[in-house]
Amino acid sequence: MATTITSTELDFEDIKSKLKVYFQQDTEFSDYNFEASGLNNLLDVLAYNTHFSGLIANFALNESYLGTAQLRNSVVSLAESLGYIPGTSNSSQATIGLTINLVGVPNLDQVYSFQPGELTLTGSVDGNSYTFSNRKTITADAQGTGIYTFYPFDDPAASIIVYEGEEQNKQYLVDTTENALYVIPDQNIDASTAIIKVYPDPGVAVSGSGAYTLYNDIFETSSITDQSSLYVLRESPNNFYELTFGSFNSFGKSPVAGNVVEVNYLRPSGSTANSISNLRLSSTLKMGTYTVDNDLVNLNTKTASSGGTEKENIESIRKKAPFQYASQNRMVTPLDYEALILRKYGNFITDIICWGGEDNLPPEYGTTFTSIVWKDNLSSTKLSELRASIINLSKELSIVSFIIKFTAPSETYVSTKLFYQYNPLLGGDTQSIVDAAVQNTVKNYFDRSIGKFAQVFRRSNLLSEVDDADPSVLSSRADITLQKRIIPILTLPSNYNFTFGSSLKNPEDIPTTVIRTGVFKYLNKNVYIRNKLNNRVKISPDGVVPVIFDKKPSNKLEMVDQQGTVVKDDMGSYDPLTGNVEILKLNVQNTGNSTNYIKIFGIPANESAILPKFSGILKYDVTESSVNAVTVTSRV
Amino acid sequence: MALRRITPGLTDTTLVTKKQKFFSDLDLNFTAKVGIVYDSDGAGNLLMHGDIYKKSDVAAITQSITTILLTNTYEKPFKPNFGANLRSFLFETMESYSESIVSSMVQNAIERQEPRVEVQNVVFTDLGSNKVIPVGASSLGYWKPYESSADDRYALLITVVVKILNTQETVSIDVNMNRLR
Repeated sequence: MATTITSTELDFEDIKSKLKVYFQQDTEFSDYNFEASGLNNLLDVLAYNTHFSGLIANFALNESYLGTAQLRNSVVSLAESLGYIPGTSNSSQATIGLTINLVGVPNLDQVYSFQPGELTLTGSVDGNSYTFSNRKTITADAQGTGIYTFYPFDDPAASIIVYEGEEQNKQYLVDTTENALYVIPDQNIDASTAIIKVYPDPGVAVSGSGAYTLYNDIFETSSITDQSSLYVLRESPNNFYELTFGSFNSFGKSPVAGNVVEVNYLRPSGSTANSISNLRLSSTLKMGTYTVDNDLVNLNTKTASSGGTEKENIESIRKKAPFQYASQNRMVTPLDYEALILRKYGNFITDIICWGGEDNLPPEYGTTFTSIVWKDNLSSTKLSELRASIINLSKELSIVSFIIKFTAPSETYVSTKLFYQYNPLLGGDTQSIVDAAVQNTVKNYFDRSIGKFAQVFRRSNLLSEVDDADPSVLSSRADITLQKRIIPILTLPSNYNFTFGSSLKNPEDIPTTVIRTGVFKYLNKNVYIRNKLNNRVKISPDGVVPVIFDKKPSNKLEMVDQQGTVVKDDMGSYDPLTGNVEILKLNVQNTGNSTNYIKIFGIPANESAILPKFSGILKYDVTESSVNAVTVTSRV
Repeated sequence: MALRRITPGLTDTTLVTKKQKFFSDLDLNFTAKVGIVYDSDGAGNLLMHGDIYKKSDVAAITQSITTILLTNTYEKPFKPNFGANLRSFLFETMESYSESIVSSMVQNAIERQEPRVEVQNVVFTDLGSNKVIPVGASSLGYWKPYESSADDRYALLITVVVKILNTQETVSIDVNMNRLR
């Protein structure tokens, strides 16, 4: 009897129908088609069993690969096998200045310190209050002045960083178990704020005073010896965190039986605690036996809180783990730079792209260019600090003599003039409803497809989605316009150079302008700039008389009023091949609208695909876009 | 069944007669048939030899209808609507449902899931009092407990009369619903 059961079938009904086909080949039993028959019940059991075996095999295989795993613990485990430790939540950080004026107070020491957690501050945003504290010892030396200005104990020039989060403290008694795991029963910790101490015995641990050994994060160390005090803190399969130490001296020392391991960390609120700039003291400070009156404390928030993020999600882990594995903790290729910068500063970064100087225009050998879209709430001071940190990171991990340079992201806007054929006989909706559906489709396409580095606009994809937006849409076409924006210095003649990042049409390719600006005010006139449509050019060969002239469109720019009368002739030019535009001596009285920028429109040479280069990012300008229905009654 | 029939004056012929079976199913009791099993030294013993009984025609349909009535909805995987859902009355008072509601539940379940038959009648009998619950009675607790014997109190006999469409045969099927303890 031929087997008709497909072993890869997953659907219950399909499996059961195959079993019925199998029974049809035998005349012994005939009741398999009746749901209440005994035979049918038996088929149910068989199909159910096959269905679940198939599903389990399917799930098991899916969960075995990083690209298809759905469960967080599977993704975390697979990423760890690539050496990638998924990011924990991050505490929002703020920098502060702290000065205590104790002039005239007798019997004080010259040097005082506050241990981690002794300085606690509160701040609020959106009606919610958050607690911040120091995670590094801060110290101050009055040098006889009576004024104590605090700074991090290891860097007097740096500002004090305070971290948002609820302080947690857990202790574990070490027994004789080999390779012990210490589970922190908390799904939300900021691992970077963890302080791991090992006390010699429970007595010392309870008192909190006395000698202890401070252990360091293994990922922050550059060398390991048998005497290193290192820990590994990573996510466990149940979403909690587990702490391990070196075993058999492979990662240095381990606590021994009778010791007490203390884990102190912050449980952060994530991104909701960002943008707080009104920090104030919430604890009473004691300097030795002297209790400081809060009126004597001068506390100022230097940079608002930023960098608070939620725990790294599954998709982020899936994306970053292979790149970081490929980078091998060294910066050689542009992808290495992206992966390692993201690993360390990912909570401040929305998007990043790096490229080698040899690919740059013009080439700059020995340089790696990076362009970063930072998160919104970062101050200029914080950005400077982050850039300096990234440069230091690249000095540690990149090839000797290579330098890193930052380039600002360059935004180019895309607008569409879209026409679609609308046949009311094919769908049940009115034109206004279909219009809205098409507009929504266009917006969704742009939201999903562009807005990040190296994301490409493809007109064919857009039009395919528009055609599928409603049954009454027969076909569609779209004219694409690019747009740059310049912020002019008002009333001061200035030159402006920028690039569309794509080739533009040649002046003679189209009867209308290739380059055109929005209307702005110049000497009390409403004017705009365009490439010349009637440029006088000599068409007769040199030395031939009579000399013949003709008027042709040109790549030269001119300023005209709204009636098309030339106001200023020589306003620069554009290069169709590179998309570079040079506007000379532009004197803007005002931008003519409520914005502080002027839009410059350009028609791309290839409207089918727009590929941003280097630091280019495409964005959608809905205000310059339109959707137009062309009503037809034919069905094709 | 093969019969050897000898007609006087004529040569004997072998006629084969066989009752046509429309339906054949497994017996859900899975009772093993009794037969002679020979052990290694050739001795025969009357033992269960492992084959299970089959149900055919009326017996197959009776088993099928009993299965429908004793199955609750959502009980069978991937077939949430299968069953008569009579067990949903567990812990309900008998006064909560009229005879017509329960009767229509039984009838609908059979008509929906057993296409081989046509339901002719559904009769409920209170086994405690051994009396038939009248058609249209406002509750299945029509007979008072004190009128029933203690042993059979709360037991209900459902008699379904169906006509088998293939043979036009009318069959009465009893399903006993009683308490377990």
